Amino acid sequence: MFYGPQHCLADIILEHPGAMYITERFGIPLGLENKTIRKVCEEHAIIPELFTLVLNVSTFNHFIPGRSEEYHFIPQLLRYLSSSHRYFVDWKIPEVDKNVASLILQIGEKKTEALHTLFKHYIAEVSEHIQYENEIVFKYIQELYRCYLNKEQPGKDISYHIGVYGAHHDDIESVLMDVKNLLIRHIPQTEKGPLRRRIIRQLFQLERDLYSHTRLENEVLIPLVQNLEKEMKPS
Amino acid sequence: MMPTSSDIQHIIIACPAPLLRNGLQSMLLPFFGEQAKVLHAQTLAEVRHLLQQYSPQLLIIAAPIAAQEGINWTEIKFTQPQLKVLLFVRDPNAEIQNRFHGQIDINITEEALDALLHRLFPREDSHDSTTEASNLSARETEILHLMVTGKTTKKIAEMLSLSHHTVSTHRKNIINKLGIKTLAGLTVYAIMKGIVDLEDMPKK
Repeated sequence: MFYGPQHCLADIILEHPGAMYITERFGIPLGLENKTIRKVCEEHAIIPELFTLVLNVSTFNHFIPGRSEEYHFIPQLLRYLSSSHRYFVDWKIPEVDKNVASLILQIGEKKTEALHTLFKHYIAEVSEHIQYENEIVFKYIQELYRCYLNKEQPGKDISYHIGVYGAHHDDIESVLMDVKNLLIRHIPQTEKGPLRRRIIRQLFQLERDLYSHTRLENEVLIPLVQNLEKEMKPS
Repeated sequence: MMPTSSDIQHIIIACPAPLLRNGLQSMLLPFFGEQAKVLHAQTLAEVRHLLQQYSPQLLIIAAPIAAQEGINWTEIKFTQPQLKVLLFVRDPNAEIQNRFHGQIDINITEEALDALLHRLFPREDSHDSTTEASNLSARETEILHLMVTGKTTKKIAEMLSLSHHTVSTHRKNIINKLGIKTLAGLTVYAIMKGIVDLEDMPKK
């Protein structure tokens, strides 16, 4: 069963704690009482159907979003994805980075610093990808949507199209996988304490979060923009 | 739980050429025996159908089929966590794609395939098999050293008087044995294991 606007949001968070991050990224504070998604969304000017779409894609691997022409989702979806970017870059990744640095100190061998260099490489790849999305992809979509609202033809300078976007995620995932592999398979555990376990759990969580984020981009945002492009820029 | 070779019930071989499918099937036989059912597919639509119907443990997929749109390989990792995917390429010099569990080419030897399958599906009666599979040979260690110090496959082939194809095969075997797919990750491994000194690293 998937979730709809009629479901109680607090119950959903109790069942799927990951939904708390979604609520936060939409700017909805906790203290939800027994309100339904529809009610909570109305109070915060969020489109309830968009909220449930994001919730279902992020919670259920087997949920497949239908082809959408709900172009009015675009501004709030972009705000959600930008907020998700900030979560990765400003909070989640620095947290793991700090723990990796502490682990290197605990192991106390000069050569293990190379692991930190690898994680820094990962951070650079993620940051570059997110910057590309924020500065090129999202801006393009915002401009396309503005033209759509104002019934304007997109200018010639909007030469980008959404089909270009998409292939960057593979390399980022591979580096994350390598960090996990090195920590689990190749670097002998000489240090004491729970830090390595904590890092590995954080890396799995990060991978899961990035996966949900990528699904939203690939399965919701891109098809939506592709449909809008067809309408705005008929070939 | 990680599947072992005796848990394997279904294998999909997806390749348009029947001769290659049958050849691969006969190479898998010594490892999996008769217990595994091998399913053949010629198109991506057939692969999707078989994945849903059988939840197989191994998929060997030819590069032209894998390159088509229709299967989200990242999503498969979460929806079919038991599944290992090997990319099958015809060109031994093809670039290694990171999104799969391993890559094999048309010239793969039985020993190399066996080592790769041992890592993906360890045998219950052989506890040391994965340890053996992660040990690099002297030649592989030498090639890893050259790789992480910035030498291209062409340069390595020239330096060691080997063919380009032989060096490519060694590269794939190194990646398959270690489970590390990026050059940055291999560099860390090489430093950790003392295969290379930090001073030998190319300055960026």
